[in-house]
Amino acid sequence: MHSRPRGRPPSVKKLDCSEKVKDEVANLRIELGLKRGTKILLLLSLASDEMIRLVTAYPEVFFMDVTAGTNRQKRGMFLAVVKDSSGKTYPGNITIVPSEKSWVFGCIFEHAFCQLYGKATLLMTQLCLTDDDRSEHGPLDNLISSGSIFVNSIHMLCIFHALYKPFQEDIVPLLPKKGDKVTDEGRNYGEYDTLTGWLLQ
Amino acid sequence: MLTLHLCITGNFFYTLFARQCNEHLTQEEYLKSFRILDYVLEESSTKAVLSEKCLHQIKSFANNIKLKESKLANYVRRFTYLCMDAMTTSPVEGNNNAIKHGPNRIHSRMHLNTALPNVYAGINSRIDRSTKQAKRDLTRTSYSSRASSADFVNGKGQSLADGNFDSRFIYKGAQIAEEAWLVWCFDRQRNDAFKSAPWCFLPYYRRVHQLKVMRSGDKLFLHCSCGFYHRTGIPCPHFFFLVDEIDLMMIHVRYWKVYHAYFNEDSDIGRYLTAAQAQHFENRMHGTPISEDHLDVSRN
Repeated sequence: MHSRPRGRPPSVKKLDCSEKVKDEVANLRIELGLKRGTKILLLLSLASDEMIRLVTAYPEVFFMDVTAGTNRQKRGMFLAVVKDSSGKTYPGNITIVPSEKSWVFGCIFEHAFCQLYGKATLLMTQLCLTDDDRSEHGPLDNLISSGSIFVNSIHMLCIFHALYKPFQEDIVPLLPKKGDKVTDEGRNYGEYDTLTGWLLQ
Repeated sequence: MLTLHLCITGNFFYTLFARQCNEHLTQEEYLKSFRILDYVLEESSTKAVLSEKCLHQIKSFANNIKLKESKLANYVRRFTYLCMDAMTTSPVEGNNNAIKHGPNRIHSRMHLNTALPNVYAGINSRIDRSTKQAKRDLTRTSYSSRASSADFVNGKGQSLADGNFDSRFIYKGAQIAEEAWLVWCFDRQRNDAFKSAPWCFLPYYRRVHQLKVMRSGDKLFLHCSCGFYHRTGIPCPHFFFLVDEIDLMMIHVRYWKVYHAYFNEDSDIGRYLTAAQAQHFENRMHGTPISEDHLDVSRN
């Protein structure tokens, strides 16, 4: 993992991975059909000095999502974006992910973010916004509740992904269309004065 | 017929759910909206318009939303520090668009070792341009505002502060203790379109906000229960009802022009800005910073 263009400082130790992550990596090797001894690149998490400076300046809200179709290797690109005080947005972190499984996102939040920005900056994060993908926000919720990272933060869902899209997909097709047959009572719906007292209280 | 049309397109139900995510300030308001939904769904006129399957789907959708209360409800982010009412991940989509269609664009047939340097170069050049622009803006004089802070605060911060400052006259207030006030505005009337069913079921809340003085060491703050300062770093209109002035100290340091240009630089101003950010963070729950003079004026 390289935080700067000049490479990882020699003082930085290799990441210690939990047993669960080691198991997942072993499964990944089998899935990819790799021979014994073949090295694989798990995560490539990038942040230039300028990106780190912006994250340090505006660490309060992280907007996170994964985008596809960015490379021939068909690896997803995870973006964590920050917003400045003028409303302009900049990527604070780019990570090439091997898959979109929850342990991958766990590694990003727990290891890559910590190494790149430091705990002091992540302490200031107040809100993390993601789409409604449980494998993406599940590890984030776990880390927040365990108090290991993003200690002061809450996680919330994007209302476009969690409200607007499901509403359009699940409810709108079932609503009566223009020209559909409705009863007289329904046709005169607007004329009813059914405002009751308890609703106003 | 207008109402029927609105009901048919589902606008009423979507509005009800959307208000939970961006308007309701308390959990009571949030829960009440579900009671209103139940009531509307039980109305005979609703049943006459919507099919059994549709009613069932709306109920199960509402149950799903209820399970995600802590992830969607607006009241959760009411006092979230500098969240700027962030609700969607559209900034990521915007950056995706810049990465895929900008000057350093990449595409799905590109090898990673070509794509990544392109992305990296594109982002760095954008950041570089914005930093240079911020440095040029330092010497700019603002003619759009008469506030004393106008030359030191960026355009967005100053326009937010000016808007709140200008709307202070529509508010009314009363002092309830030596260092506490109530401020309200009941002038705004509901649009006629929302007075007929089913829109009349959606409650229109007339809110009274409490302002109180808070202290941290020798520093003074004015805390407003609307949470606008917590969320944005700009004083709310209720604050300006009491303090008839825009002072630079009231505006969060992140809006200062020097902040974007020099933050974290290895210089005195860079270190000062880093310290100021930490200080604001420390006092994040206290409200808008004020001086003794401001407090004296408010008391009178």
